[in-house]
Amino acid sequence: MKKANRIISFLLTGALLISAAGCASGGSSASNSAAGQSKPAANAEKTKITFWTFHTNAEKDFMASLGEKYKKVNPNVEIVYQNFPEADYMGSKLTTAFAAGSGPDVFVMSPGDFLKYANSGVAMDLTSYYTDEMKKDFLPSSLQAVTVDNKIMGIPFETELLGLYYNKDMFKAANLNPPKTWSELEADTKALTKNKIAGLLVEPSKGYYQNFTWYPFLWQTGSNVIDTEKKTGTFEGAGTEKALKLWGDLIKAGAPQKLSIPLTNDIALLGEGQAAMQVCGTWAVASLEQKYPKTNIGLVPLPVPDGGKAATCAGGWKMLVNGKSKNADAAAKFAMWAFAENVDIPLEWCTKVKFAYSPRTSVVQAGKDIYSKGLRNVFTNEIYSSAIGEPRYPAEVVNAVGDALQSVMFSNGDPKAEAKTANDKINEFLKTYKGSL
Amino acid sequence: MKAQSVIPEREEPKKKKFNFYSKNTRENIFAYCMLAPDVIGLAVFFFLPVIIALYTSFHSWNVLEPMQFIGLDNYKAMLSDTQWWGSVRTTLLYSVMFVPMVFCFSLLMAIFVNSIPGKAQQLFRTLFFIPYAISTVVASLIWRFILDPQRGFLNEIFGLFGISPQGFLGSTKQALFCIALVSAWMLIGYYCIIFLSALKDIPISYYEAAKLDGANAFHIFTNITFPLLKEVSTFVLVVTTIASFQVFDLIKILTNGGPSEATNVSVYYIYQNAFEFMKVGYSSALAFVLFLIIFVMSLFQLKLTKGETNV
Amino acid sequence: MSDQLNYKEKRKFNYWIKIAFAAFLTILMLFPIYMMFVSSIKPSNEVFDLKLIPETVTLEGFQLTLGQNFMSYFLNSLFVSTTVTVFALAFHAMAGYALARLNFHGKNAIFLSILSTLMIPFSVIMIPLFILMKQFDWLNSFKGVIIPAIPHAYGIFLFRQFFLTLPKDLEEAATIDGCSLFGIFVRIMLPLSKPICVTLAVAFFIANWNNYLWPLIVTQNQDMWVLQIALANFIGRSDTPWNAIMASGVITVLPIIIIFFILQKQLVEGIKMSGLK
Repeated sequence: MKKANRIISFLLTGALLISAAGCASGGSSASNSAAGQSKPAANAEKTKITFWTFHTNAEKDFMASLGEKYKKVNPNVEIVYQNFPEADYMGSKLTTAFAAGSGPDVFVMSPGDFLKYANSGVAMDLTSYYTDEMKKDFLPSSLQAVTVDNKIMGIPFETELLGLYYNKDMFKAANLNPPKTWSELEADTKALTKNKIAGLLVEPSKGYYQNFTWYPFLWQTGSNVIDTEKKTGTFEGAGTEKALKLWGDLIKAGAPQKLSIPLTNDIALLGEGQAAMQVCGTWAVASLEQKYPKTNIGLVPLPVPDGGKAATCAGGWKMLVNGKSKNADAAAKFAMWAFAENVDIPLEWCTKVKFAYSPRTSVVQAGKDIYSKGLRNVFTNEIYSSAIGEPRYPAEVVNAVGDALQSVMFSNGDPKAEAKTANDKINEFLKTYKGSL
Repeated sequence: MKAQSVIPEREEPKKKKFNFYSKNTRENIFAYCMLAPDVIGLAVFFFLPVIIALYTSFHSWNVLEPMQFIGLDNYKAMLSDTQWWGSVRTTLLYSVMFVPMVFCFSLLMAIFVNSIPGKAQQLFRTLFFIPYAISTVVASLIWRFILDPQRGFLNEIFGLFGISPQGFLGSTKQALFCIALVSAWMLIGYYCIIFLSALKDIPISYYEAAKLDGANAFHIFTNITFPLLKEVSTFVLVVTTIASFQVFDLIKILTNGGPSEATNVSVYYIYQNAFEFMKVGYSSALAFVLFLIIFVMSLFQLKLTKGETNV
Repeated sequence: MSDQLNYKEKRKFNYWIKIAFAAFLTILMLFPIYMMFVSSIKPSNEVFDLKLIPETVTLEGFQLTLGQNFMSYFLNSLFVSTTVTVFALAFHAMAGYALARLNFHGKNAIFLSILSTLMIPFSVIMIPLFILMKQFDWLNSFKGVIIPAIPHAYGIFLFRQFFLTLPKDLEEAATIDGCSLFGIFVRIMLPLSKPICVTLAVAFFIANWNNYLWPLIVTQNQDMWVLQIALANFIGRSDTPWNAIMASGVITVLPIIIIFFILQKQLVEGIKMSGLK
């Protein structure tokens, strides 16, 4: 009895001590973020706007600083910034928050999921906040991407393009030039896959990123997944089959089926000299310059099939405002100020914090010099013109396309049969889908 | 044969009739009090959400708009959902791979470790336990490195023996087994400790008596050790089976259900429906069907292992 | 005489064979841990060369992990894990004992209901549980992280199975000695269950220490972050410091190993059943 008592009281005391320490440290820990939860109630009229993104490291610090900057513009509004890891931001965090009615006031959204929020009325209609000047400043295609039924429902703030990065030294040693056509791409992959070096890295994991990097190849053949006007699936025909077959052939030629990095949006493998080519985006330029300056990396536009047209995917997240929030107006004003009105903020974001294109001509003008530095030059002069905006298909469509691609790449699926299966699934889904595309 | 007579017989507890004699009522009330904190906790934090989820399964809900009642439509849709039934098949396959691996290896390891005398036993117990303490994220990363088809350590070793490089997580045929392997790696040390605790309770006198009777290691195991491990074995069997039906974290991080649906297990499909397709109602319906499958299986397992003890 | 010598030699030989085999097993089991350790001391642009011996050794991974408020997140994790473990242990021992040793109405039904809570995936109750937390106003508080994590069928089940193995006469002997119902539990059953208590304590501590999703969902403020959330925040698009992630793995594993090693003794000296007195 005594021993048990002693043990129990020891544990309880320990728990109490630790809880005291926990409360003390939890309360006094210096907050890096602008989260001022324990601020004295002096300014009771301050409106609190919750601002959520998935960014990390340098990008997170930038987003967190916006709140401070906005204080000078409107001292009565407090921006409470929170960041969450990307994998769980879209999946668990946002969904549970909105399910309980506690969604954030301002938040970033991927093009793919944008429609869900637009169709359901959660994304606020910002048309009235866009001045005519602003509307002219934005590229028409970028505003189109956030417009549903003639209502502008978000703010585009970055455009990220895809290209083919390659290791110049490996190409020189093999006496090859970077590929311009699909057949060259396949041949180069085969030739350069040796000694544990992968000739080419394309995304093997199913998901929205795999689709994102594959769409350009589909578009280059002149095909597309859906006819958004007629709302029917067009995922069939010679072009679609060719595009599917290409990635299956690339795997056979030497592109790895599985990688040590979770996603090929990370340029680490190419940077470390373990691959000869990698399909990746504008965001990798900064990483290459800072982390892998010794590896000699070049950049070319994505290879084109015979008789096909150059194309690349222009992605980029959007800023949305929660229309159901009670502070929606204040939130909208903040978001518009940061990304539609201000030039310095988008400029810093697109040129210093990371590398991306701004959908606003004013910002691109202001950053002219940066856009011609190093590999950025290739994006600006050779790739930018062929950019097609990332589609905003519902998840079921993304999934159907993904299944087809996975089957052709890894289960020896027949491109024609897989395309048909996917197209049937897409059409089946579109029959009952009432939202916009 | 004689070894069996060494174990004292277990008595069946006498079942008491429920009447209003104060002793029985006292025992009842005492029992309920002992159960109260956990049962109330489970009721509030588990059963309540489950009832809400069940309610949701009769609706269509995309989280952003109010729910819409659709009766049994979700369940009807499930019947013709080939991807769902494929995921059930994959889950069953995974379970068949995973449960025997974990059960047998942890038991064998426990018996082996138990036979190491002295301080060395303490050392190895701790060492084998370490994988259990690693978080899933870090474990996945490490195993990605080891199972990398180009540069991974495992393929290098295979190369030494002249085996051609394998796809592992990138191969539709091997991916599921690799997930089972990683998961087993994390758990074997822990279940070894659990078996060890139970092994320690077997009096040495039993073994000595058996040896005097001339029993060999195999006889000792089948007639003394294993029967006395019945309760713990039941626990490990039931718990690992249930866990195998719920495998999710590793798959989300390592394979995303691929390559080409090879590792698309039921819980992953349920997650996809709730958080990617935002069909929360449908996902709840699927979860209930999965629950029924697991429940029936567990009941079956418990009945099977009933034997001498009360269930 | 020579027989005795042979016997001693044989025993020594057996002993070393066992050690050798155990060492072999250790290499198999712990090789991935070695990889983790090696990756944590590489610079971030060499992590993926997957070499077994690092070309460059650096502590920048650890520096990165330990900077930025590490201590406060660590203490948060410690607080959460310890609290859950202490309460869970107490409650589960009580419940498991009742289910194993007491006779009462509805025993089997209650046991099966408790067991069934293991069978529904977390994804399904995540949203309703979150909504519940909002109703209770437990969002963004330690209450919301800790209290829902305490009740768990796993511990109840394990305690029950363990208590079933104890001889039936134990209670009768105690009652004859004039012990109350609760007294039997505290004075006899609990001390006997020390090995299981230690095992479960370690298991719960680890599970809560590594728990990531629920704390992520419930908390909003960075002050409330537990270690796992802070570490997941390193994972970005193309500037993830993988060596820091590995370093974090090394750091978070160490306290658990130390605690486990210390508690070893409690685990082993499980009281033999050969004496009832």
